[in-house]
Parts: sequence; structure tokens; C-alpha cells
Amino acid sequence: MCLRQGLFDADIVLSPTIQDFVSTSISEAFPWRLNIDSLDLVAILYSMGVLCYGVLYHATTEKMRRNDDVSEDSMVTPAHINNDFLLSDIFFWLVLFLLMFVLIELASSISSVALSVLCACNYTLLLYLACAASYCPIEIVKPITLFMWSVHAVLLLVVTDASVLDGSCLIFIDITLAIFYYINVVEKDMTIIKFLNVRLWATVMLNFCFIMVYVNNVLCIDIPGT
Amino acid sequence: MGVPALGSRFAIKMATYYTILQSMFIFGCISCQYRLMVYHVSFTHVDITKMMPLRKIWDIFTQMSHTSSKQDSIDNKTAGVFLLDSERQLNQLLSSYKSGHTVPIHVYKVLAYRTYLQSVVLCAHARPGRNTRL
Repeated sequence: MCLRQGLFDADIVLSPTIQDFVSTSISEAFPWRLNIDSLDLVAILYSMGVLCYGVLYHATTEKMRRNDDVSEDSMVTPAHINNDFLLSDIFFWLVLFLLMFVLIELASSISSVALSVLCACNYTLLLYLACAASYCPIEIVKPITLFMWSVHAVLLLVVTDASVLDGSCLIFIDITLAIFYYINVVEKDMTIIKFLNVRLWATVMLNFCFIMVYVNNVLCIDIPGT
Repeated sequence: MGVPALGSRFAIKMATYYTILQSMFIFGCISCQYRLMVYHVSFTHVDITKMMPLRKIWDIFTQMSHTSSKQDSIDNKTAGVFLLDSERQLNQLLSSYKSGHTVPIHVYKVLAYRTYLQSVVLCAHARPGRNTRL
């Protein structure tokens, strides 16, 4: 048994007898179970979410055309987002959350549902905060939220064991969302139609990546005679 | 032309059709037995009372270090005897710790579900080291 003392940490190397005992006691305390599950339900939910978003976009733009009070070229305000486009906005972030959940699950060799939900939630929430920071009067919030989201995006790439195609799609998604952030926060003159269009095209781009990952990971489980 | 191509009516119509097509594609794949399968890890009946606490390990560590420092001052001939003694002592410690935690009734406290549900698992000792769950 030996003890290594560093500046900030102390690393204890146990003798093999104690190490075996500790390993056994920990594995007995946390009896883990390995399941093979399917992500079909989440994939369907995501797919339906994208479809609903497309329908919602169409309904919103049609409603705007009929309504003379609100023009497509008028500037979007927090009041608009919180009233007229609230459902559309919620759907967009929900779709992003589902997409990230599916991608984290597929990119990891072995995953835990709770952990994947937490990671997807963090990723979506940080990007939402980064985009919502444009309405915040404190300027320092913008770089902080963007930095936090970027760190989280890179960490997801590092932690997951994504294959070349899955990893490329994850990177493409990050780039798409970075452009989405740029249009939302950095570019000036955010009109209503621009607000809606940027979300629709981001959804389409993200969905394109999802289809690529889906086709790459899908398995045929057709068992003859069943 | 001031309007960007992605904001044109034709492009938007295509994007809307795309959302419908992708949904049909996913449904088609799933109905044709093409599935997304993943490995999931989950923990069942987490019971940390079986774990050896770090304080206990530290006690063993300090005790064993004390014994080995004693051994350094003794000649090579008698060192082997002390080494055997220290190994025996360690094994006794570990076995006493292991036997001290084999209680006949075990209560798992499940706080994660916030219902403070306590599931009781009875462990009947038919033979030493062999538990039967009822």
C-alpha cells in the first residue's frame, strides 16, 4: 500500500488484497444491469415534433398574412415571443432537446438514460440562455453563456465515442447552432419572418443530420418465423 | 433581389414538405422492423451499506503502514515472519468486516423516487454466504 502526495491531490494505491475487496464491495453495492433498449419511441416523438413544427410554422405565417396589425417585416420583440410565437419557440427547443438526447444515446457505446437526459437538457438550456441573452441588458452575460455552451458542446464530442459519421454530424450540428446563435444574437434587425425562418431552417438542417445518424445506426430486427 | 433564397416562398414550401417526408421515412423504417438499438446501464437495488467506507480503508492503511515501519528496523530473517503476520492481520480485518455486514434482514431505502418508499428484502441464510430473497 502506498500514498502519493501531489500539490492538490493525494493518490492512494492499495495493496491487491484490499483493492479486490473494495472493488467487490462497490460492485455488490451498485449491482448494475445492462439492457438492450430501443430508441424508436424517442425517434418517433422527435420526427413528429419536426412535423408539428413545420405545420406550426405554416399556420403562424398564414395567420400573419391575414392579420393586418402585424407585418412580417416588423421587428420581433419579447412580447411577440412570449405571446404569438411562444408555442412555435417551445416546439423548436423541445425538438432540439429530443435530437440531442437521441444523438447522445447513439454516440455513446453504453449510456444511462438519466445522464443522457441531463446532458441534452444542459446543452439545450445553455444554447437557449445564450440566445436569450440578447434581450438581457447586462452585456457580460452574452460571452459567458456562449462560452458555457461551447464548452458543453466540445465536452459532448470528447465524452461520447462517436464514429466518424456520427461525430461529423455532431460537429455539423454544433456549427449549424453556432450560425443560429450568430443570426439570433449578433446580427441586428431581427424581423418576425427572420425569427421564424431561422428556426425552421435550423430544424431542417438538424433533421438532415438526424436522418444521416439514423440511417447509419438503424438495425433490421426482422426475425424469420416470428 | 433583397430577399434571401432561403426565405423565399418556394424554399419554405420545400422545407415544410421535407418535414412531412422525414416523418414518413421514420415511420416507414420502424414499421419495416428497422430499429435504433442502444445499450443502457441502470443500477438496481443500490445498497451502499455493503461498501467499505473510506475511513475504514484509511484505518487499515495507517495500521499497515505502522506495521511495515516496524518491520524496517528488524533483520531480514525475522522480517518474513512479520510479513506473514501482517498479511494474516489484514485478512482477519477484511473477513471480520465482511462477516459483520451479512445481516439477516436488509432494508433498502429508496430516496431517489422522493416517496421515501422503503422496500424490505428478507435475506434468509440457508447456508453461510448464500442468500435467498423472498
